[in-house]
Amino acid sequence: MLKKVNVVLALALMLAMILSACQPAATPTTAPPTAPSTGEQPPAQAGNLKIAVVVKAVTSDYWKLVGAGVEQATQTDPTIEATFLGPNEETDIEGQIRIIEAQISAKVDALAVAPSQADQLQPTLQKAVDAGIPVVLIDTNIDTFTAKSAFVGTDNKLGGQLAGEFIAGKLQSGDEVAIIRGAAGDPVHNLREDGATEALEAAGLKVVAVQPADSDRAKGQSVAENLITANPNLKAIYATNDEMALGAFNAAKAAGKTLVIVGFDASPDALTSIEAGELSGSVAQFPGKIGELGVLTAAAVARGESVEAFVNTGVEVVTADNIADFKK
Amino acid sequence: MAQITIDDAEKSKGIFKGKSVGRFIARFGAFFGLLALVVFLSATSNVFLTASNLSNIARQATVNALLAVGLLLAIITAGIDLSVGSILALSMCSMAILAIQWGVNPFLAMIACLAVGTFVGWINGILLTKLRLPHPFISTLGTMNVARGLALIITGASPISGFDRAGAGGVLFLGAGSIGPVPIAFFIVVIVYVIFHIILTNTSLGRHIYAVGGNTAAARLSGINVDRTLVTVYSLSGLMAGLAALMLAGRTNSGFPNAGAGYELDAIAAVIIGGASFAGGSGTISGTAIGVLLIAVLRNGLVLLNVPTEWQTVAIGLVIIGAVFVDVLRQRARR
Repeated sequence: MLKKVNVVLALALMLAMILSACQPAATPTTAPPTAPSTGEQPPAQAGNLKIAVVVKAVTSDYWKLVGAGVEQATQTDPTIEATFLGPNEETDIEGQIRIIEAQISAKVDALAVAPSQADQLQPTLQKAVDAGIPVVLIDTNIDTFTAKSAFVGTDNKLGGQLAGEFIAGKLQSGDEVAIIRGAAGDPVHNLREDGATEALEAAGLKVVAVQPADSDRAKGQSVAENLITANPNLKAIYATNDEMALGAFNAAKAAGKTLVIVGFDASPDALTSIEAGELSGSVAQFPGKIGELGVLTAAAVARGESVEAFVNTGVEVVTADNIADFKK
Repeated sequence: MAQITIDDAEKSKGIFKGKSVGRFIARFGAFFGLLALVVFLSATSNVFLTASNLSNIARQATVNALLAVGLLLAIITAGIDLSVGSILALSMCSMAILAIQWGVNPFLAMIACLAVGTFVGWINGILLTKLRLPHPFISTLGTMNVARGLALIITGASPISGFDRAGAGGVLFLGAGSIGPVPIAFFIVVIVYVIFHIILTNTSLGRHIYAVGGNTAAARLSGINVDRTLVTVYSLSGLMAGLAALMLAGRTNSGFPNAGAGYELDAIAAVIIGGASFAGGSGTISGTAIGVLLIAVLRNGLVLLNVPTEWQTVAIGLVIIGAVFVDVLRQRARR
């Protein structure tokens, strides 16, 4: 009897693990209509272009700004009907695939997708192209996906380089810097890390550790605490998103250290923190532009117009010195 | 109750009479694992044993330590609580909205944080006992999704930050403050562990919890109100998630809707490493404390040694398997 109970419970636990892995996902059937959709327009006359924008997650400030850009595009061009979709967590690749598949079934006119992982998403995106739905990649490029119509986004490597140069400008040659990055394997974070590492090493700084913290504030804080302890001479932390940078700031503050801490995204929370003299800087992308130009490019492709293969949406380091200009 | 007696009998055989070294190690497998890890890290990292690092470990272990108490209670009753991570997010976000966006008195917001957690836990208990859902796995899986969804809805899926700017210094004091090198959070965890140790070993509630898990039918026949005990257990688990939310909010100076995702699995791991059995009726606060520490020290140590997180995940998986295997050996030794 007891044995049976144990077996049932062991199976139940396994199920729990599997389910909890999928838990943050928007469910396949309800995701499209219920996911926060800032870009939805009331259904208008026939002939409108249906563009589905599928991002990595709909739960952070950054993706909301992308969503605001999507909304902006539908106002610029009222013949575009855009939906803004995505799973709840950036690590939920499966969830993103399900959402894209639902859009293929719904026969949208074009897809604008920010792929969370290149290799996993590529077959699904290829399926869309094969079904006659053009795909514009936004935010994150997949180099090997040649069937895409265009890439609209930030030059993340350049952003990393600018962050590295900014940090180098504040430190001396030989100083120690640690990098906290997003989920291992995420191509955007690879670029942001590589760009910064190159710039830091070119300036003679030592990158003493690179640790992933999954773009999460609490994890970023724990990792930063451990890094600060393990490297007492640490002078700066570069985090490949603002959530982790804000966590790192909390860690440095608790340890009584003043470090140069630079994030990436220029999220509202990070800007407040820069204004308060906490974070040293954050690499700004222009997420609104990514959303806006992403939709407009996708619409142009759907209409059969020719578009640039790479639409650069710009990048700059926001600091206490230029934040007033940036916020305008 | 029967289980406790066996435990005690085994204890006297294993330790005090020193019949078998193997049995002794098996009984304290997790403890020796922790000890070995501490010795290894002290030898390989020159910062591991510093006050600031130990204080880091205490801070980083806080949330899991509190969630694990709730899981321990649920697992002793042969149940499970999958909703703790989501309850944490909902409580934390509720408090952030009240204190930061609505300017509610921070003390009331903190009470609300605990109340939200307790309430969702109570719902778990009601679903299990009054709606007669067949296993807490199902009721808490449901509330896990509902609470996470609500946390995303009420925050508009954005982090809400700045308890300091909202004048809610009390939240920061609890979650991030310290007396000397010792974090306030550590004192809170110790107090909670002492209270729950007393509840489990010296009160009728504690005896009822073990009895329900050991043999529900027998517990019912002996006049124990099984339903009330279960509702209390899940409410307490919710309360612990609310307290964990309070600590994490103070630690990160923020309430964010993705907080706590997957934390239930770390808490389950801690309880199981600590020697509790899914069959119910066994498990101790001291064992859970060791499980929590083992995971926290492992995570901390692997970062100090600059081991990538991927390997940390592998290591924790191996520790869970190893610890439970030791438990299996112990069960065998009993026969």
